[in-house]
Amino acid sequence: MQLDQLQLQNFRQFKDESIRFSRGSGQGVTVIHGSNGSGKTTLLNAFTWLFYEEVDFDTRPERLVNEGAISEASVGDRLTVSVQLKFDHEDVEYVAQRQAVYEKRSSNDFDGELVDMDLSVKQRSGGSWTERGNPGNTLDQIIPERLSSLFFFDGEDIEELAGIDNQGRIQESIENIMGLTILERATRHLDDVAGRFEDEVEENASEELSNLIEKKRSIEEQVDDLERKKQDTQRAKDQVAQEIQDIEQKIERFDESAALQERRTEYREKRDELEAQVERLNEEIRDEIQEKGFVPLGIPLIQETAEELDEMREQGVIPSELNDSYIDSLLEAEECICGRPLEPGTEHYQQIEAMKGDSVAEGVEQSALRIISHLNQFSEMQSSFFEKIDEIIEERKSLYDDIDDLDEKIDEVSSELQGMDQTTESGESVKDLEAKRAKKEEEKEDLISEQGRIEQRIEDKKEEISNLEEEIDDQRDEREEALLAKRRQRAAELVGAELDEAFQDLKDKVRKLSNKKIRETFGSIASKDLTAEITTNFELKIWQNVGGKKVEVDKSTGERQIASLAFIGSLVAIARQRYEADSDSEYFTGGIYPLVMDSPFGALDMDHRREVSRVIPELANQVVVFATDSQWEGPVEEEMTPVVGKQYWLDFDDGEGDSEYPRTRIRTEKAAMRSD
Amino acid sequence: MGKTVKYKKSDLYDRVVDEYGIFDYGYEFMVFLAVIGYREEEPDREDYRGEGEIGLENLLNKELYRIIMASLAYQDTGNPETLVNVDRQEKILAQYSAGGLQVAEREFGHTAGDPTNAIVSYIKKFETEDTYQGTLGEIVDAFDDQMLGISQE
Repeated sequence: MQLDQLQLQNFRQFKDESIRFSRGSGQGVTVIHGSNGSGKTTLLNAFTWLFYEEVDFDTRPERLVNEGAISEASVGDRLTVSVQLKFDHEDVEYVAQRQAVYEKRSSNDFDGELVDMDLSVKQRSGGSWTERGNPGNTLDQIIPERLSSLFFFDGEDIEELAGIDNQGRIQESIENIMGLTILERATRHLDDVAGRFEDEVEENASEELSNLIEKKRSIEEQVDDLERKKQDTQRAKDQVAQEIQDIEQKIERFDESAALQERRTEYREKRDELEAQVERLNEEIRDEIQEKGFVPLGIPLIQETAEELDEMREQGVIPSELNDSYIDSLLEAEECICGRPLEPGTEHYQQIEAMKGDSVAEGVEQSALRIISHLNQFSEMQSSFFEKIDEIIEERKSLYDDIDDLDEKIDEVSSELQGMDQTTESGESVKDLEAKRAKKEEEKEDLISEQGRIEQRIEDKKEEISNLEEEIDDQRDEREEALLAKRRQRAAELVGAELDEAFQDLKDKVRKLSNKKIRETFGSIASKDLTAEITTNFELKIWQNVGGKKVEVDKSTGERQIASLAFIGSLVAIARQRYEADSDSEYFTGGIYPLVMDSPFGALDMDHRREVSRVIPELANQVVVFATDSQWEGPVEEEMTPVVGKQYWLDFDDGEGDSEYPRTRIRTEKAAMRSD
Repeated sequence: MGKTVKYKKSDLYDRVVDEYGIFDYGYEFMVFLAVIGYREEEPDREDYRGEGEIGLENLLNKELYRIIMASLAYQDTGNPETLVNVDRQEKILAQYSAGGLQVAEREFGHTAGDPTNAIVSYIKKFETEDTYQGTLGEIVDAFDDQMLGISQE
């Protein structure tokens, strides 16, 4: 797919504007410059609204219609909001258009009521335009909705992919790019089928079995509820984290509090670094336990054994050594220890020869000697184990003390901020904001604890289910119908498990493929000896090579963002590779997609901006980037200018005069802009 | 395929090995549990086989594990010939390991989160300053001299 032109009518602050995208080879980047609030996110939403009727606005999500247009309209008037996109896909030209008609219901109605919605897709074949019968489906085939978050995204959020607890998103993205919905659906259906057979078993089963099944199902329902609760808690936690971030940004804007907020960020970064050091020490402790942990516990065993065996040796209870070389020497001399001749081929010769290798008497003494001889080694390992552990624990304690100090300092910053009276135009003071932030922080901690509790409960319930399943399997006294249904249920479960296993294997293959690309992209831009990869648990991690050992490093926002972009880029590349591959398969067909990114330079420092600017053009054939002037100027501009084909400036007028309304115009030249 | 050892497993194996990576492999944790079982005098003679299964070679390839296995077998039977009877050794190892698992469940099985610290505390309970004393000290010293090829006066 290649974007050509986007036209907006009455869509939020865009009254009647259009953008033509760059499609040149080597210059496939279109940059849209705009200050905060000028409409960059609105443009990103124009794509998702057109394709999937989805929008994600922070303010007034219900208001799609242009404020000026609806204010000037009379009650009863109808206004059309429209987004139109011209694009090419597989050498066919398309025009997709979504229109929504809103009616103004009262003089104070600035949202309007939706009275009509229409989506149309036309395609040009053989010189004439034809309208597609099922436009929604057509668009979903071109860019499936499940892939939309990969290709239309907010760049500032993207670094979260490489954050903690994001295995779900990484895994989902990989599943989405594979497009194996057929396997997902089949597994789901088999689940239903197994459920239906279970109903049958229940109907035909003995009372005892029936009760067990009922009990199991009820616990399964509880698990489903808990999983939902877990997701809700996760969402609530993300929301609170976002709110905290927003509040902190506001605090940063006050001259009086900016330095304190900066100091707090610095303390937190130091604390994170110390926590990472603690984790490295914990890793060392684990290594010690693995290597030598059994030694202190095993010392009495070895001591007692060595002591007793040595005594037995002295008493001659353990037969003295009779080893293979001695037997060989007897055979060679052709004379037995008892003085009898040993002629090759005789029975006696063969008997002596057979004593080689498995001679018990020989092994016992050697084995005894081995135990005694290792006593010292065990003793040394014990001392070294305790010494090392004590040393690590001491070091860790000192780190904990430092972390406590930083926590105190962070609290002090909070107290200082809570004493500041400076107030914004909207009447919020620093102290109010900080108090609010502290409350939110507590809320977040509570949610994290709640999440832990829910996870524990889920685990307990799953254990109960697995015990019940064993009990159900052990029931043997049911009737023929129940047995048959049970066999069928088992068959459906087995097939389901098989499919799921195949799906997991395929996913792992794509993960490995993706890692190859990530290493290439990340390696070419990220600093020093860092590497990024998706682990077998689907976590996007950044490692550092320290003395030949891979150590997970505490990542900066910039590095996380680069890793995340490298991941997205890897999926785009895989999709393109699959699409271009000469394959007859109807599965995993891939595709060519553009990338539309809002503010990918977000909160990055200059160095990381430069690095991210280098990656972006490599991610896809066509890239649309939204940026503020301050994000653009400097390294980004230097790096990207050669690959930029078109540039636009969003000229935002906040409409603060009489009879004026907020409006954004899209300019092809950088005019005298109002503000950044 | 070589001979395998079947041993009793519980969720604790998943936590200690897979989730927290305290041991890389199940058999390493199994040996660790066996010495606990011996130390606490709690072998499990009844229910010591389970879904855990490892190649015997993994254990025999490590000198120190071979020593532990042989010593356990000797202490358990009092018969020095078990020092070379690998079949007896693996069975006895599985019994002590299953017993050790019960102790471990009690001691650090119910710790919320990472059990590393609980395991360290457990091991540290057995820390002593003692070196070899008395006859054993003499044995060790004598043996060292022998090993070094120094003849005793």
